[in-house]
Amino acid sequence: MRLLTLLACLALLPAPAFADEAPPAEAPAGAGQGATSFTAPAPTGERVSGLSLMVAAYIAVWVLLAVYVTFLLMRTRNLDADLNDLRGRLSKLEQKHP
Amino acid sequence: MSSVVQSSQPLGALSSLKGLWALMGLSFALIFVGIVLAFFVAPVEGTLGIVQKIFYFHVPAAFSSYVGFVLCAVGSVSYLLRASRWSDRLAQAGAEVGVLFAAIVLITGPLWGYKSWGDYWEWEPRLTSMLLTFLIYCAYLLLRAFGGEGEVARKIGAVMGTLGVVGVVVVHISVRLWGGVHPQVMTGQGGGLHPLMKPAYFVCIFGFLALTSALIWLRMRLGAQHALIEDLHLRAADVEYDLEQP
Repeated sequence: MRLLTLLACLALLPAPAFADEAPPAEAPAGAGQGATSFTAPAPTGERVSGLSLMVAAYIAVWVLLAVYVTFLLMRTRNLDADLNDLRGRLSKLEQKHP
Repeated sequence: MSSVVQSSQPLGALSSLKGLWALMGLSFALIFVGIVLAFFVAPVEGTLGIVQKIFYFHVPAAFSSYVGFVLCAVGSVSYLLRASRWSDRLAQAGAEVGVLFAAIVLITGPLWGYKSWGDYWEWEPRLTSMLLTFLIYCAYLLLRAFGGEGEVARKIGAVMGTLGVVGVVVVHISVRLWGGVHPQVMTGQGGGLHPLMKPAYFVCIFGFLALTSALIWLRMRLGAQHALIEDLHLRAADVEYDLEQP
Protein backbone atom coordinates (compact mmCIF):
# COMPACT_ATOMS: atom_id res chain seq x y z
CA MET A 1 0.00 0.00 0.00
CA ARG A 2 2.74 2.44 1.03
CA LEU A 3 4.81 1.55 -2.00
CA LEU A 4 1.83 1.94 -4.34
CA THR A 5 1.00 5.36 -2.89
CA LEU A 6 4.60 6.52 -3.14
CA LEU A 7 5.04 5.26 -6.69
CA ALA A 8 1.75 6.77 -7.85
CA CYS A 9 2.61 10.16 -6.36
CA LEU A 10 6.15 10.17 -7.68
CA ALA A 11 5.03 9.12 -11.14
CA LEU A 12 2.46 11.89 -11.41
CA LEU A 13 4.36 14.77 -9.83
CA PRO A 14 6.64 15.71 -12.75
CA ALA A 15 3.85 15.55 -15.36
CA PRO A 16 3.29 19.34 -15.66
CA ALA A 17 7.01 19.89 -16.13
CA PHE A 18 6.69 18.31 -19.54
CA ALA A 19 3.74 20.49 -20.50
CA ASP A 20 5.74 23.22 -22.22
CA GLU A 21 8.20 20.87 -23.81
CA ALA A 22 8.31 21.18 -27.58
CA PRO A 23 7.12 18.03 -29.36
CA PRO A 24 9.98 15.90 -30.63
CA ALA A 25 10.80 16.50 -34.25
CA GLU A 26 9.94 13.58 -36.47
CA ALA A 27 12.85 11.76 -37.99
CA PRO A 28 13.07 12.38 -41.72
CA ALA A 29 12.41 9.54 -44.11
CA GLY A 30 15.49 7.49 -44.71
CA ALA A 31 17.17 8.73 -41.53
CA GLY A 32 20.22 6.72 -40.64
CA GLN A 33 20.75 5.57 -44.19
CA GLY A 34 22.52 8.66 -45.52
CA ALA A 35 20.56 11.41 -47.28
CA THR A 36 20.34 11.25 -51.03
CA SER A 37 18.36 14.47 -51.55
CA PHE A 38 16.92 17.44 -49.66
CA THR A 39 13.19 18.07 -49.87
CA ALA A 40 10.80 20.36 -47.98
CA PRO A 41 8.63 18.53 -45.41
CA ALA A 42 5.01 18.03 -46.42
CA PRO A 43 2.49 20.04 -44.35
CA THR A 44 1.09 17.68 -41.73
CA GLY A 45 -1.78 19.73 -40.23
CA GLU A 46 -2.07 18.31 -36.72
CA ARG A 47 0.70 16.47 -34.95
CA VAL A 48 -1.47 13.90 -33.11
CA SER A 49 -4.86 12.79 -34.36
CA GLY A 50 -7.97 13.21 -32.22
CA LEU A 51 -8.61 9.47 -32.43
CA SER A 52 -5.18 8.69 -30.97
CA LEU A 53 -5.75 11.16 -28.12
CA MET A 54 -9.16 9.68 -27.38
CA VAL A 55 -7.87 6.09 -27.42
CA ALA A 56 -4.96 7.09 -25.15
CA ALA A 57 -7.39 8.72 -22.68
CA TYR A 58 -9.69 5.68 -22.61
CA ILE A 59 -6.76 3.31 -22.13
CA ALA A 60 -5.41 5.47 -19.28
CA VAL A 61 -8.80 5.47 -17.54
CA TRP A 62 -9.27 1.72 -17.73
CA VAL A 63 -5.68 0.89 -16.79
CA LEU A 64 -5.84 3.14 -13.70
CA LEU A 65 -9.20 1.72 -12.61
CA ALA A 66 -8.13 -1.88 -13.27
CA VAL A 67 -4.88 -1.48 -11.31
CA TYR A 68 -6.63 0.10 -8.32
CA VAL A 69 -9.55 -2.38 -8.21
CA THR A 70 -7.18 -5.35 -8.61
CA PHE A 71 -4.97 -4.01 -5.83
CA LEU A 72 -7.96 -3.58 -3.47
CA LEU A 73 -9.36 -7.04 -4.27
CA MET A 74 -6.01 -8.79 -3.79
CA ARG A 75 -5.48 -7.00 -0.49
CA THR A 76 -9.00 -7.89 0.65
CA ARG A 77 -8.45 -11.55 -0.23
CA ASN A 78 -5.14 -11.64 1.66
CA LEU A 79 -6.67 -10.00 4.72
CA ASP A 80 -9.63 -12.42 4.61
CA ALA A 81 -7.14 -15.32 4.65
CA ASP A 82 -5.24 -13.73 7.58
CA LEU A 83 -8.51 -13.25 9.43
CA ASN A 84 -9.50 -16.89 8.99
CA ASP A 85 -6.06 -18.05 10.21
CA LEU A 86 -6.34 -15.85 13.28
CA ARG A 87 -9.83 -17.11 14.07
CA GLY A 88 -8.56 -20.69 13.81
CA ARG A 89 -5.65 -19.88 16.11
CA LEU A 90 -7.95 -18.26 18.64
CA SER A 91 -10.34 -21.23 18.54
CA LYS A 92 -7.43 -23.60 19.32
CA LEU A 93 -6.36 -21.37 22.19
CA GLU A 94 -9.93 -21.35 23.43
CA GLN A 95 -9.91 -25.18 23.56
CA LYS A 96 -6.65 -25.14 25.55
CA HIS A 97 -7.81 -22.44 27.93
CA PRO A 98 -11.61 -22.51 28.16
CA MET B 1 -12.31 -16.02 25.10
CA SER B 2 -15.08 -17.44 22.91
CA SER B 3 -16.62 -14.00 22.76
CA VAL B 4 -13.48 -12.76 21.06
CA VAL B 5 -13.85 -15.24 18.21
CA GLN B 6 -17.59 -14.97 17.93
CA SER B 7 -17.71 -11.21 17.99
CA SER B 8 -14.83 -10.75 15.63
CA GLN B 9 -16.94 -9.48 12.74
CA PRO B 10 -17.28 -5.78 13.51
CA LEU B 11 -17.28 -4.83 9.85
CA GLY B 12 -20.97 -4.14 10.22
CA ALA B 13 -22.72 -3.03 7.04
CA LEU B 14 -19.37 -3.06 5.24
CA SER B 15 -19.03 -6.84 5.59
CA SER B 16 -21.59 -7.65 2.88
CA LEU B 17 -19.63 -8.64 -0.21
CA LYS B 18 -22.85 -9.34 -2.14
CA GLY B 19 -23.95 -5.72 -1.83
CA LEU B 20 -20.49 -4.57 -2.86
CA TRP B 21 -20.42 -6.79 -5.96
CA ALA B 22 -23.93 -5.66 -6.86
CA LEU B 23 -22.93 -2.00 -6.65
CA MET B 24 -19.73 -2.57 -8.60
CA GLY B 25 -21.57 -4.58 -11.26
CA LEU B 26 -24.19 -1.84 -11.54
CA SER B 27 -21.52 0.82 -11.92
CA PHE B 28 -19.65 -1.03 -14.69
CA ALA B 29 -22.94 -1.80 -16.46
CA LEU B 30 -23.88 1.90 -16.35
CA ILE B 31 -20.46 2.96 -17.62
CA PHE B 32 -20.69 0.40 -20.44
CA VAL B 33 -24.14 1.70 -21.43
CA GLY B 34 -22.76 5.24 -21.21
CA ILE B 35 -19.92 4.36 -23.61
CA VAL B 36 -22.36 2.76 -26.04
CA LEU B 37 -24.56 5.87 -25.92
CA ALA B 38 -21.52 8.13 -26.30
CA PHE B 39 -20.33 6.38 -29.45
CA PHE B 40 -23.59 5.30 -31.10
CA VAL B 41 -26.17 7.89 -30.03
CA ALA B 42 -24.34 11.13 -29.17
CA PRO B 43 -23.19 13.02 -32.27
CA VAL B 44 -19.54 13.78 -32.97
CA GLU B 45 -18.83 17.33 -31.82
CA GLY B 46 -18.50 19.78 -34.70
CA THR B 47 -15.34 21.67 -33.72
CA LEU B 48 -13.22 19.17 -31.81
CA GLY B 49 -14.33 15.98 -33.52
CA ILE B 50 -13.92 12.52 -31.99
CA VAL B 51 -11.62 13.69 -29.18
CA GLN B 52 -14.63 15.30 -27.48
CA LYS B 53 -15.72 11.75 -26.50
CA ILE B 54 -13.19 12.11 -23.65
CA PHE B 55 -15.77 14.43 -22.09
CA TYR B 56 -17.95 11.43 -21.10
CA PHE B 57 -15.16 10.19 -18.78
CA HIS B 58 -13.42 13.41 -17.90
CA VAL B 59 -16.36 15.25 -16.31
CA PRO B 60 -17.78 12.24 -14.38
CA ALA B 61 -14.28 11.51 -13.07
CA ALA B 62 -14.07 15.13 -11.89
CA PHE B 63 -17.37 14.77 -10.01
CA SER B 64 -16.14 11.50 -8.50
CA SER B 65 -12.98 13.19 -7.28
CA TYR B 66 -15.12 15.92 -5.70
CA VAL B 67 -17.16 13.23 -3.91
CA GLY B 68 -14.00 11.51 -2.66
CA PHE B 69 -12.42 14.72 -1.38
CA VAL B 70 -15.63 15.95 0.26
CA LEU B 71 -16.06 12.57 2.00
CA CYS B 72 -12.46 12.86 3.18
CA ALA B 73 -13.30 16.27 4.67
CA VAL B 74 -16.50 14.95 6.28
CA GLY B 75 -14.62 12.02 7.80
CA SER B 76 -11.81 14.32 8.93
CA VAL B 77 -14.16 16.79 10.66
CA SER B 78 -16.00 13.90 12.27
CA TYR B 79 -12.69 12.43 13.45
CA LEU B 80 -11.61 15.75 14.96
CA LEU B 81 -14.93 15.95 16.83
CA ARG B 82 -15.38 12.35 17.95
CA ALA B 83 -12.08 10.56 17.23
CA SER B 84 -13.79 7.46 15.90
CA ARG B 85 -11.90 4.94 13.76
CA TRP B 86 -14.84 4.75 11.36
CA SER B 87 -14.50 8.46 10.54
CA ASP B 88 -10.78 8.07 10.02
CA ARG B 89 -11.36 5.16 7.63
CA LEU B 90 -13.94 7.21 5.71
CA ALA B 91 -11.45 10.08 5.38
CA GLN B 92 -8.69 7.79 4.13
CA ALA B 93 -10.96 5.99 1.68
CA GLY B 94 -12.33 9.29 0.36
CA ALA B 95 -8.86 10.75 -0.17
CA GLU B 96 -7.57 7.65 -1.92
CA VAL B 97 -10.53 7.34 -4.28
CA GLY B 98 -10.54 11.12 -4.83
CA VAL B 99 -6.86 11.04 -5.82
CA LEU B 100 -7.53 8.14 -8.21
CA PHE B 101 -10.27 10.05 -10.04
CA ALA B 102 -8.33 13.33 -9.93
CA ALA B 103 -5.44 11.49 -11.63
CA ILE B 104 -7.88 10.37 -14.32
CA VAL B 105 -9.02 14.00 -14.73
CA LEU B 106 -5.43 15.26 -14.94
CA ILE B 107 -4.50 12.64 -17.53
CA THR B 108 -7.58 12.83 -19.77
CA GLY B 109 -7.85 16.65 -19.60
CA PRO B 110 -4.46 17.40 -21.20
CA LEU B 111 -5.12 14.82 -23.94
CA TRP B 112 -8.34 16.65 -24.77
CA GLY B 113 -6.65 20.03 -24.27
CA TYR B 114 -3.95 19.20 -26.81
CA LYS B 115 -6.61 19.17 -29.52
CA SER B 116 -8.40 22.26 -28.16
CA TRP B 117 -5.47 24.48 -27.23
CA GLY B 118 -2.60 22.98 -29.18
CA ASP B 119 -0.74 22.19 -25.96
CA TYR B 120 -1.07 19.58 -23.22
CA TRP B 121 -1.04 22.01 -20.34
CA GLU B 122 -1.99 25.63 -19.72
CA TRP B 123 -1.29 27.30 -16.38
CA GLU B 124 -4.84 28.59 -16.17
CA PRO B 125 -7.09 28.73 -13.06
CA ARG B 126 -8.99 25.46 -13.29
CA LEU B 127 -6.11 23.24 -14.33
CA THR B 128 -3.76 24.78 -11.80
CA SER B 129 -6.26 24.59 -8.92
CA MET B 130 -7.08 20.96 -9.80
CA LEU B 131 -3.38 20.08 -9.81
CA LEU B 132 -2.87 21.78 -6.44
CA THR B 133 -5.88 20.01 -4.90
CA PHE B 134 -4.58 16.71 -6.24
CA LEU B 135 -1.16 17.39 -4.70
CA ILE B 136 -2.73 18.34 -1.33
CA TYR B 137 -4.50 14.99 -1.15
CA CYS B 138 -1.38 13.16 -2.39
CA ALA B 139 0.41 14.76 0.56
CA TYR B 140 -2.42 13.58 2.84
CA LEU B 141 -2.03 9.99 1.58
CA LEU B 142 1.75 10.13 1.99
CA LEU B 143 1.30 11.37 5.55
CA ARG B 144 -1.13 8.57 6.33
CA ALA B 145 1.07 5.95 4.66
CA PHE B 146 4.36 6.97 6.28
CA GLY B 147 3.29 8.97 9.36
CA GLY B 148 2.56 5.91 11.47
CA GLU B 149 -0.64 4.81 13.18
CA GLY B 150 -0.44 7.23 16.06
CA GLU B 151 -3.04 9.71 17.21
CA VAL B 152 -0.88 12.69 16.19
CA ALA B 153 -0.56 11.54 12.57
CA ARG B 154 -4.30 10.92 12.43
CA LYS B 155 -5.09 14.38 13.77
CA ILE B 156 -2.65 16.15 11.45
CA GLY B 157 -4.15 14.14 8.59
CA ALA B 158 -7.65 15.13 9.68
CA VAL B 159 -6.72 18.82 9.67
CA MET B 160 -5.16 18.43 6.23
CA GLY B 161 -8.19 16.55 4.92
CA THR B 162 -10.50 19.26 6.25
CA LEU B 163 -8.54 22.19 4.83
CA GLY B 164 -7.96 20.42 1.52
CA VAL B 165 -11.64 20.66 0.66
CA VAL B 166 -11.15 24.38 0.07
CA GLY B 167 -9.30 23.28 -3.05
CA VAL B 168 -12.43 21.52 -4.32
CA VAL B 169 -14.44 24.72 -3.91
CA VAL B 170 -11.75 26.73 -5.71
CA VAL B 171 -11.63 24.20 -8.57
CA HIS B 172 -15.38 24.36 -8.97
CA ILE B 173 -15.73 28.14 -9.01
CA SER B 174 -12.42 28.98 -10.71
CA VAL B 175 -13.88 29.19 -14.22
CA ARG B 176 -16.64 31.54 -13.11
CA LEU B 177 -14.33 33.73 -11.03
CA TRP B 178 -11.23 33.96 -13.19
CA GLY B 179 -12.18 32.66 -16.63
CA GLY B 180 -9.36 30.84 -18.39
CA VAL B 181 -9.28 28.54 -21.38
CA HIS B 182 -11.17 25.65 -19.78
CA PRO B 183 -14.55 24.97 -21.46
CA GLN B 184 -17.62 26.27 -19.63
CA VAL B 185 -20.23 23.95 -21.13
CA MET B 186 -21.43 22.62 -17.76
CA THR B 187 -21.15 25.87 -15.80
CA GLY B 188 -24.07 27.66 -17.43
CA GLN B 189 -21.96 30.03 -19.47
CA GLY B 190 -21.50 27.88 -22.54
CA GLY B 191 -23.99 26.74 -25.13
CA GLY B 192 -24.94 23.65 -23.11
CA LEU B 193 -25.04 20.07 -24.26
CA HIS B 194 -26.65 18.82 -27.45
CA PRO B 195 -29.84 16.90 -26.46
CA LEU B 196 -28.43 13.66 -27.90
CA MET B 197 -25.29 14.02 -25.75
CA LYS B 198 -27.23 14.24 -22.50
CA PRO B 199 -28.20 10.55 -22.07
CA ALA B 200 -24.58 9.39 -22.43
CA TYR B 201 -23.38 12.14 -20.11
CA PHE B 202 -25.88 11.45 -17.32
CA VAL B 203 -25.52 7.66 -17.54
CA CYS B 204 -21.74 8.06 -17.25
CA ILE B 205 -22.18 10.42 -14.28
CA PHE B 206 -24.36 7.87 -12.44
CA GLY B 207 -21.99 5.04 -13.41
CA PHE B 208 -18.96 6.87 -12.05
CA LEU B 209 -20.76 7.87 -8.85
CA ALA B 210 -21.80 4.24 -8.30
CA LEU B 211 -18.20 3.15 -8.92
CA THR B 212 -16.97 5.78 -6.47
CA SER B 213 -19.36 4.47 -3.80
CA ALA B 214 -18.27 0.87 -4.43
CA LEU B 215 -14.56 1.75 -4.24
CA ILE B 216 -15.02 3.75 -1.02
CA TRP B 217 -17.00 0.84 0.43
CA LEU B 218 -14.26 -1.64 -0.55
CA ARG B 219 -11.50 0.63 0.79
CA MET B 220 -13.31 1.14 4.10
CA ARG B 221 -13.88 -2.61 4.38
CA LEU B 222 -10.15 -3.09 3.87
CA GLY B 223 -9.40 -0.61 6.67
CA ALA B 224 -11.86 -2.33 8.99
CA GLN B 225 -10.36 -5.75 8.22
CA HIS B 226 -6.88 -4.44 8.93
CA ALA B 227 -7.97 -2.97 12.29
CA LEU B 228 -9.74 -6.20 13.21
CA ILE B 229 -6.67 -8.30 12.43
CA GLU B 230 -4.48 -6.05 14.57
CA ASP B 231 -6.98 -6.34 17.40
CA LEU B 232 -7.15 -10.15 17.15
CA HIS B 233 -3.34 -10.42 17.03
CA LEU B 234 -3.11 -8.46 20.29
CA ARG B 235 -5.75 -10.60 21.96
CA ALA B 236 -4.17 -13.83 20.77
CA ALA B 237 -0.81 -12.66 22.11
CA ASP B 238 -2.42 -11.86 25.47
CA VAL B 239 -4.01 -15.31 25.71
CA GLU B 240 -0.78 -17.05 24.70
CA TYR B 241 1.08 -15.07 27.35
CA ASP B 242 -1.48 -16.14 29.96
CA LEU B 243 -1.11 -19.79 28.92
CA GLU B 244 2.66 -19.64 29.28
CA GLN B 245 2.41 -18.45 32.87
CA PRO B 246 2.82 -21.29 35.41
